[in-house]
Amino acid sequence: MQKTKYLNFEGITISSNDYGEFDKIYNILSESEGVISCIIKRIKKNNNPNYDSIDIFQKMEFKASVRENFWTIYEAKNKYSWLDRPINLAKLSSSNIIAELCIKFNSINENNTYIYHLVNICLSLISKNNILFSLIYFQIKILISEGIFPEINNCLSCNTKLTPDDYYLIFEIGGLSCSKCLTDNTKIKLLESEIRLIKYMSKIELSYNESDQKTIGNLDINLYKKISEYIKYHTTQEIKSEKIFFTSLN
Amino acid sequence: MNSSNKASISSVITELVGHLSQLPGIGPKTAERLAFHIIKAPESKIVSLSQSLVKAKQQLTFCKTCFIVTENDPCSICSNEFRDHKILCVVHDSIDAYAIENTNTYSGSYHILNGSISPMNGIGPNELTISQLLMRINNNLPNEIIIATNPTIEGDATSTYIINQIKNDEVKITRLAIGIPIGGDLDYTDNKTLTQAFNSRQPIR
Repeated sequence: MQKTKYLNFEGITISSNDYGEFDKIYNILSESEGVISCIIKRIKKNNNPNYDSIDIFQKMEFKASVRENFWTIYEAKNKYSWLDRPINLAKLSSSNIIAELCIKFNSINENNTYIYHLVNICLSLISKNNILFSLIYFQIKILISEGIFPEINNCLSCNTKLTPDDYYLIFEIGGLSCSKCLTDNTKIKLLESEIRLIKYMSKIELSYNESDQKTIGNLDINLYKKISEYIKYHTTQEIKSEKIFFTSLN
Repeated sequence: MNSSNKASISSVITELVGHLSQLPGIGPKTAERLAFHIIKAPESKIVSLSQSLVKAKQQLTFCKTCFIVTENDPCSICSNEFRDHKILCVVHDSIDAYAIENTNTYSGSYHILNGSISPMNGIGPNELTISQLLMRINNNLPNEIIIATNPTIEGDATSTYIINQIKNDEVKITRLAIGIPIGGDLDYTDNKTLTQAFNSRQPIR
């Protein structure tokens, strides 16, 4: 039987579920371990002086015990909260999309420190209403981090330079194709302006302090949807929060 | 003992544990404990429990006005002429309405949302009874709507959404106060709760 370990760590609460009568299980994104599921006992009774008020999308200092991969939080202190009240649907659902992507990619992700800081930046962008920029930036950066960012400079089949009319992102090969090389593969048409944006966002690297200044005009929800289709192809899973996010934009 | 060994002991126990562990908040270990408690209990008690379960499922329904769990439609609250139907308290679930009823301080009516907005679980405004609430407000023009959703991010997003959807400016909208629990110590209260308590302070003279 493994010995119980005691750990102090900083983390971001990204989702929670009720467990039993008084307890909750939180998915916490940490810098060293990625997403971990932790039980917080008697949190619903809300009278334990060891816990600050805990909610999702808060950066907190945790003290936890770990035994056989079973994490129990016994102390939690609030450091920062991104979603201030009143909370609108667009902010909640976009933060949820980021949380879902973190959970989906967690099992294969080895860049925990990078993802942790990326989530910090993207939640900060969302809190300042740069929602679409934040989501597309996160999508692109997580694709790069996972090594599935598409090749978007030339046609991957014939290597020719692409003209403005024939930008097709082929999901299977993870890159662009010209109209001559086009096959029956799963594909999506990208506009030239969209390719430029993807290239630009793939190259920039925001720091936390820049997150309140960075914004791009003319960002379109369709670009988000197209990249999301590509991510879905690679993860084979739906992002549940998207439906509510699209509703919130109407 | 692994699960395959358990299955070989009794498929009936395995089946019972399987059913019990599907209940919210019941893990496999608790389900096993409950199963063995049921097996050891007198038969009359278990028959009475199973009859209650079937009766609850067959006889309980949702009130078509406020969506509370009830035996009769309209429910005893909506059909009670001594209650103030011009005050509407909006809560997540029937259990929240029962908690408020236990305080004996509220004599208005309720509207049960049947959950809160939870994008990660695919629950948006359309999955709740928000459109029925808005229809109710338009038809009855209440004097006050008390939003009593949970003070969580999802509860707050639900209340913000509802407030934004209520277009009638004449309706007074209030929210339950958030603050220090009775018997709690100020020095143990966290910053967020204390800030909320300060913001929702009440004049006393």
